[in-house]
Amino acid sequence: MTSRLGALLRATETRVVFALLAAIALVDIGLRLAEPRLSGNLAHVAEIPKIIAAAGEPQRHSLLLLGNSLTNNGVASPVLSQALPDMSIAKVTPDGTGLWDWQCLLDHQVVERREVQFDTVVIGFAWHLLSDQTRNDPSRLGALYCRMSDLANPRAIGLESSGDIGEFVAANLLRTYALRDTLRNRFFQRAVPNYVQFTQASNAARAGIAEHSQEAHRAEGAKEPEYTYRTLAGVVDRLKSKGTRVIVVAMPVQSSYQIDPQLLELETSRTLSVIDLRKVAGLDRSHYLDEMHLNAAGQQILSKALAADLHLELASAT
Amino acid sequence: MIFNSFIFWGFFALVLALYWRLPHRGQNYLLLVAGYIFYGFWDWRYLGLLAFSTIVDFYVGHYLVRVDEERKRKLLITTSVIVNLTFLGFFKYFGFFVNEMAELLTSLGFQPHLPVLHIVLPVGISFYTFQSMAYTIDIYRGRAQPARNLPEFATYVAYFPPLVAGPIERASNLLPQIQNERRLKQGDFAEGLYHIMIGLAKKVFIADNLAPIANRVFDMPAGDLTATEMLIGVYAFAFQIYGDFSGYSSIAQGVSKWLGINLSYNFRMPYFSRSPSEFWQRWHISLSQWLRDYLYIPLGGNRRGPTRTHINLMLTMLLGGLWHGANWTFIAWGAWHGLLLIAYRVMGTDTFEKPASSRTIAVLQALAMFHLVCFGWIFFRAESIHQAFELIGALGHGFVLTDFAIYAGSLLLFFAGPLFVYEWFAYRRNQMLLALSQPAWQRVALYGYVIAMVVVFPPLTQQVFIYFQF
Repeated sequence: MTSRLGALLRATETRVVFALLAAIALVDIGLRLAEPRLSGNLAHVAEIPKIIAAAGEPQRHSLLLLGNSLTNNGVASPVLSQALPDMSIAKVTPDGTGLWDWQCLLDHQVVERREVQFDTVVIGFAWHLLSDQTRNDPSRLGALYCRMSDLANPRAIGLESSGDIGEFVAANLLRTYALRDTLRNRFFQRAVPNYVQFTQASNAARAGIAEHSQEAHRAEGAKEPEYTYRTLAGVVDRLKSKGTRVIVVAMPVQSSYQIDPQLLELETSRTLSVIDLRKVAGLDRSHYLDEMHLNAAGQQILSKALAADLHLELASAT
Repeated sequence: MIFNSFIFWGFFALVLALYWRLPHRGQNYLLLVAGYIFYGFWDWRYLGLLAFSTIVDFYVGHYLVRVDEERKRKLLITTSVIVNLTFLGFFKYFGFFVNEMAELLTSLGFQPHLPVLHIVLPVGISFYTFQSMAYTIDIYRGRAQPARNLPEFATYVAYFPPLVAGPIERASNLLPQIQNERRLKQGDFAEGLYHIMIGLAKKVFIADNLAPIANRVFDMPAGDLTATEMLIGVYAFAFQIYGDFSGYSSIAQGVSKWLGINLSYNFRMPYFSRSPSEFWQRWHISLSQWLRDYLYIPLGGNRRGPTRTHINLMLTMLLGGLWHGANWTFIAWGAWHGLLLIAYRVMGTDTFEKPASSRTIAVLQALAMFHLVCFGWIFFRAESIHQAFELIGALGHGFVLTDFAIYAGSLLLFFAGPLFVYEWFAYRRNQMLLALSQPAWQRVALYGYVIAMVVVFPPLTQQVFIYFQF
């Protein structure tokens, strides 16, 4: 047995393998150093611990505004600061994120950090983004928001398959893998003519196919999946135990959507509060950059509406 | 469980870690269990099929060498062939023939009520039934010895690296390696690593990234395509299917090398072939050889005059096409290759079997052959014969450099270009393992490039191996 193992080791292309490992390690270190310069979103993600620490000092009243690009485009923190002058406000809105990312982010950056204390966490969402059924991105979770220790219970962070776990681990260990989409897009944007045009067209076509198949599904009388909110309830409980209340805000988009009754049940049980801003007076199609993101004028209108609602909500709580 | 998935590599790491700690018999049992887990991962319901086929062929082989009476031997071999072809026919061709029959009857004015089965094709059925059948036929012909016991034979059939997409390994190559103690020789790890690296690059970086381009072109209405776009779509599919299938074979070879088992080469840089006959000696070699040995030669091969040779060639290629699936497009693809083989034969085989008189002539011949192969891919990839002819019609729409052509052409160059150049050097030097004969730093550069491309440019959606469906 030992001789077989010895043979295996002797047969190894030791130098080649070690040189490759060294090269991979060097590239990885380089990428970790250069990461914030690769995109505005990555720079924002790198700043999150500092943003949260700065705003969440236990001595002050504080509010954490959490969301993705919907919230980023939709809410201007200065407007909220004006309406809530005693509050220190942190705006954390990394692109493409949803429940699973926010769960890890809140657990590791708010719940577990003793030096951080927020009175209120406000989460902007649309559709079923806060439900257990929302899609996750194992790479993003592994690289940016969760930790290897979260793998102790993979389902709790939305990892369903061995492929998800593999992707999570690979992204956690290897920055090249974690940042592959950014690197790929940056390279192709420069090297391949018409890349942006055809990639956007193919993404739109894919989204159209998905929507069409959903519609066909509905037309066939198939039942909508039942959305559950156990993960969100867990996050809310953990925040509550630290003295933080949670408010979720249904954000406006051009198409209409329903707020799931299961989410409203959480409000009924006084676990969290729901602010419904799907329809805001003064907001119309001219205030959108695309199907869902607001422009600067729209941002001002929505921010003022949110500030007013938050003012009332926080006042009623005290 | 596919080779380009995390679960496979976790599974293989576990198998490998146990494998070299076990004695020979234990290794075989481990391979057997691993084979069934690997296959069962797709659909455990079809494990019974694999087991049944194994048991039938083992006992047929067992009795073939113990029975002297020719009538009984014929009965045995017929049983094996019928059982295997029945499985294949039922799962793969039943629906096709029922549909065709229904259409025929409808066109004759009948209202047929034929049974429709909604069954999933067992993955890799064409590969392991052909492998199993070759075993019994070889024993019948006295060219192979039967396995000594059922577990040994079951390990041979269920050996997992080539199980679902080949190569179709003959008993004469694989069975002795199962029977005899295996050792890892100096250089085996390096060779395995090389095959795995090249295979992953071909599958993940090349094939899966070219798939969206080929899909887009083949999904577009033919009337909207320019000739340039059609050409790029066909080239993309040519490299997609080559990268996909040869990538799988390469990874199977590499994984096997680390288990101390040598699998045969299934591809030898086929797109540099100068004639159809050379192409089939370089493309899906294990199937070509199977069809040659168990179909073409028994039909008479080239021994009964030119007309009969041409008929035999056409029949072999038609069945080779049908092996890929129950669709007229595959039959048309087989017919196209049959025609090519006949046409080149009529032109004179000497011209293409001897070295070309100049490098330019060789390049022109290879270029012509590549385009003839690409023409065949249109039938292979199209959804129907009608669509194939419409797409061929698009080649007459004018060679205009549209925005899409520039975009898709750039991607095609980026993904397939480096492989093409590397294989060109390997072909010129006639070295399948070119990088292994180069200094270590060149291998570091090659593998570094492969890792970077596989990690940074994985496909946007993971694709299963095309040949799993065959």
